[in-house]
Amino acid sequence: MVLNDTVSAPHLAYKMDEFFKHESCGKCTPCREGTYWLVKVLHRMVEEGDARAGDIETLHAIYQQMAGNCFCLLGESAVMPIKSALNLFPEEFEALVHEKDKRYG
Amino acid sequence: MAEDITLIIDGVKLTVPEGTNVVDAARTVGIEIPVFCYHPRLRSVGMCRMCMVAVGIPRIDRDTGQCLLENNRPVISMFPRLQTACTTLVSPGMVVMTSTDEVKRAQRGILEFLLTSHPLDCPVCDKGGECPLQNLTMGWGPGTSRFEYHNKMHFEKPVPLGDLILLDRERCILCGRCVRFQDELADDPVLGFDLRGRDWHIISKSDPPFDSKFSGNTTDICPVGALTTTDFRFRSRVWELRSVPSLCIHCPVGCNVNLDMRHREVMRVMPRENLAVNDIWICDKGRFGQHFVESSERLTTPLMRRGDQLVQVSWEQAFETIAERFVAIQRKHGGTALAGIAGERLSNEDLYLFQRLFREVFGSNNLDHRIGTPGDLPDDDIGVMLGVGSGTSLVTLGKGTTVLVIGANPEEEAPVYLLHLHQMVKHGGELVVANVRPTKLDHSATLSLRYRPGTATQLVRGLLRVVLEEAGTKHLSQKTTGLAELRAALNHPMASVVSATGVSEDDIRAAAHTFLQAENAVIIYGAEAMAEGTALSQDLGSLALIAGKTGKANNGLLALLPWGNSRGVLDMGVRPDRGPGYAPLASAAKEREGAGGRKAAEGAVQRGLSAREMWNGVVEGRIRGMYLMGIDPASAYPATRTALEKVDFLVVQDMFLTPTAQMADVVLPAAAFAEREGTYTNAERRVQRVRPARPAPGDCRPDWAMVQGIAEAVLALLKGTDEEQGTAKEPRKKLKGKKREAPGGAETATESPGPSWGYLTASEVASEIAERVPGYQGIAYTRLANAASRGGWGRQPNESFYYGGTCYRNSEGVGIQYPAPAELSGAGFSLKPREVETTSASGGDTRYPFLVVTQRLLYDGDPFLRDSQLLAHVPAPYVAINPSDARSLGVQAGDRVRVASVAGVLELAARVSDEVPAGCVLIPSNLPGAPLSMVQTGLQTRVAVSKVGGRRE
Repeated sequence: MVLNDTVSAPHLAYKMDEFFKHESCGKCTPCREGTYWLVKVLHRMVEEGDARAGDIETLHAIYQQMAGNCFCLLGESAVMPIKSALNLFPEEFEALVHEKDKRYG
Repeated sequence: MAEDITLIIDGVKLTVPEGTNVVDAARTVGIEIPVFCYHPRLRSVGMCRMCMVAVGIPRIDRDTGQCLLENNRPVISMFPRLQTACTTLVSPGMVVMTSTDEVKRAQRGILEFLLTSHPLDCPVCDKGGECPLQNLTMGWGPGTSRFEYHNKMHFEKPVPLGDLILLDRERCILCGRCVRFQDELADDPVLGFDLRGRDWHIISKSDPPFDSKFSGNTTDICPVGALTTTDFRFRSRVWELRSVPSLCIHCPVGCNVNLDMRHREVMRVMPRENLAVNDIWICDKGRFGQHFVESSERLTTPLMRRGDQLVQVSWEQAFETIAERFVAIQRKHGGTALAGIAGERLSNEDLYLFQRLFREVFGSNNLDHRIGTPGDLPDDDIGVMLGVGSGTSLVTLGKGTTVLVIGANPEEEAPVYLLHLHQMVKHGGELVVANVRPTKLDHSATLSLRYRPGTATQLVRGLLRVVLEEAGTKHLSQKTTGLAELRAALNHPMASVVSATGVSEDDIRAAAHTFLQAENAVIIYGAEAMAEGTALSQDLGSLALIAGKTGKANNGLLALLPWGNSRGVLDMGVRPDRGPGYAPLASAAKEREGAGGRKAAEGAVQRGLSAREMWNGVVEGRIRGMYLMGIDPASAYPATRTALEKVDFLVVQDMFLTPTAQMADVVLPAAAFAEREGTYTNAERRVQRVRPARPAPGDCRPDWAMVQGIAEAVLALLKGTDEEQGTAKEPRKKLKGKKREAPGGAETATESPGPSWGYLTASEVASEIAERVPGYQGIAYTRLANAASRGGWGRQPNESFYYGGTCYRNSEGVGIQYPAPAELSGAGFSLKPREVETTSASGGDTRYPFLVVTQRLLYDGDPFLRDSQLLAHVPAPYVAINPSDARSLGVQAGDRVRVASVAGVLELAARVSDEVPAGCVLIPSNLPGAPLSMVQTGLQTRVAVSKVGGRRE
């Protein structure tokens, strides 16, 4: 996937994980609940501009609790966008938290 | 046999059989691995991901195929990811770690995930207090959640899955145990999942919804409060309940249950684990059908007829009146003018004393347990003689076992056996099902035989031929007789068997082969087989014997008799032709004399009247007095009403003012099974105990105590009059306040007939049974209690308890199975076939072209179902007709049809079903109002069927 530097990493992670949430079959707990939770948090951060201090830590925790524990690769794949975004573009998430009203899109 | 595998879990070396998964293996050494979706009775699916553990296996040298060693210890290569322990089977040298930081983190993570969508409404949840999710959260979960509460999913709560089971979708953690139970064990695949992701939820796929007779079990194995029963929901907190071990008395399985009591109320009925009987399951009749105990219609005092009314009287008055009237009849017309019928849901103690009263006090063998309809089944003796050996457990059967089910529908007759049979097939056993109609069991059967109605005996003789050819007779004991007669009866070509039964020769041979080759084989036969007469059961006995499948555990015959203590009734000798323990009448009388009884009256050694003969006897004036205990002929066989009205003196002992009781001269109020002590004998001859869970309402007494009350009043009266005539040596007073002597004690014949009465407790009666009834040696309450509390055989694996279901562990004993005579050396058996009494569907009387086939229904017209929600499942009386017959009769489903036989005419709603063979009509035998009994002419009835009017209703 090729993206230029105008694309927001949190927004990308949000969009991709929404896809995985939509595709999750629901059979195994980490994928079913993890994608749901990830999207809930990302939606609030990205779409509602209501990112909070603990959010980044929570996002880290959620994907770590999913990684390696899912039944199939769909759940494991859902980890990748958020994990890469958080680790490669931490400043963009920090910015969301510190500049709450700043909307990306 | 499975090989043993040695592995290491958390540093503990253990050895378990091949095929064990890591959860079960860890449990054997006391290491707990938390699970939600895993259940020891169901397939592992690894869905919930709770049982994550670190697993490693020894590294193998590719060149040598040997384990790589380092410092003399095998090099272990760990899997890169954690593994679900429930889906990981043990392998040699495996190393499992269940409490590393990584494992703990994963398990805590899964629990946090599960709790994100769980409503945490524990304070109002019925599961609260016995909830695996609560327990595992305490043991493995995080103390707080980072999930925002308002983000939780919310669903309407609860939605009905069926009329008995409610689903709270918020609480559901989607483990799928309920779905798998229905698919795998009940073989009623009525539940499924709908939608996906977080919207995934359980739905019922059947119409009517959740159409299964085992639905209640899903609420037990549900690890959260998602599934609740309408019966128990919001009725009590579980920690307020007092569990009283008891039994279900509805069918011959004899499931162990716990009655969960709050004060006097039965709040719920739960299965109690017994690997030899019901495993951890009960059917819905057992769970939801026990409300009769608390019915407001229970009788509470003795009643006596004054004119048209029944008025309350004291126990003394009741017993004195009964004694006076019975003694008067006995004096005037002889003891044989008295007759008694006892129901099959009474305990052994009641039944034993009942027959003692008649045989010893009245000198009459007019005893029966049947209603006396023309369709009454013959008493099943072979089912005891060659019954399944002691130690039999249908639950544990699997590879190497063949079960032949013939003329039976376990789903309706003994539901929990259906689960066991499904499980057996799953474990590699062979299931041969032979029936007239398709039944649920066909689906899991390895071989299904469909024989023409009335030809089961011929089919079995076909099997016998093959078995006799292949097995020979050298192994038969010297005491086996009648082989020549059997050979003679089998001496016709196989082609005639094929043409008569409609079963192909290949199938007959295949069935016989499977039966003969099996390591263990059991024959299960039910009401439809017994309706073919004793010739069939005789031949089934011969089949088992010649194939060498008798006299050992997991081998032999298993008769599905109708009620909870149908076996006990026969064991106790409540029948006109045999004494207790199936003893011939003469030897039973001699035994009584030997035990200190008086010389048997003539009536005591002659065969008595059966129930059918009794009703005729009443009409003809030969029977003047009747004592009906726990049975309601006026409902079950309305034709008896004439006789019940005519009989001079009628005593009815029941829990309710049944239609029969309304005709009685004296009505005695009985305590229910939950209000008393007693033992029941199940289909496998396992004697088990019920205990009082609640006080009986009003003045109710246990049945045995009332029988004793009558016996003592009669004896006192006899003694009193004897005394007046100057023949008695002892004053009457002494008898009344007599010192109780040991049962079977040394009282002399002049003082009292038979061993003393005056039992203070049911256990004293049981001790006497243990002493006097062949087979019951040693089965006394003390032994039951001791054995259970000391551990020994009373201990159960309790796996279900461990895994968080709510089936109760069994600490109260699992019963004692007495040996079948075939297990004892010196037992002889005659192979001599009996004459076939049945007619086949084809041919016969042209005025009555249809043959009635019948079946017992689980949800029937049973008065014990009163106040139960199951009443909604009891079908209105109907007759089912084959589509081709329906077409030629011009009948459509729902039409009223007239069913006529030589005996009577009946109008019923028609059902059209291709499960009924052409030329036959199906009328269940135990529908409300007992319609079948109105047209029955015998075990086999032929009827004419016509449509009523031209209009469809």
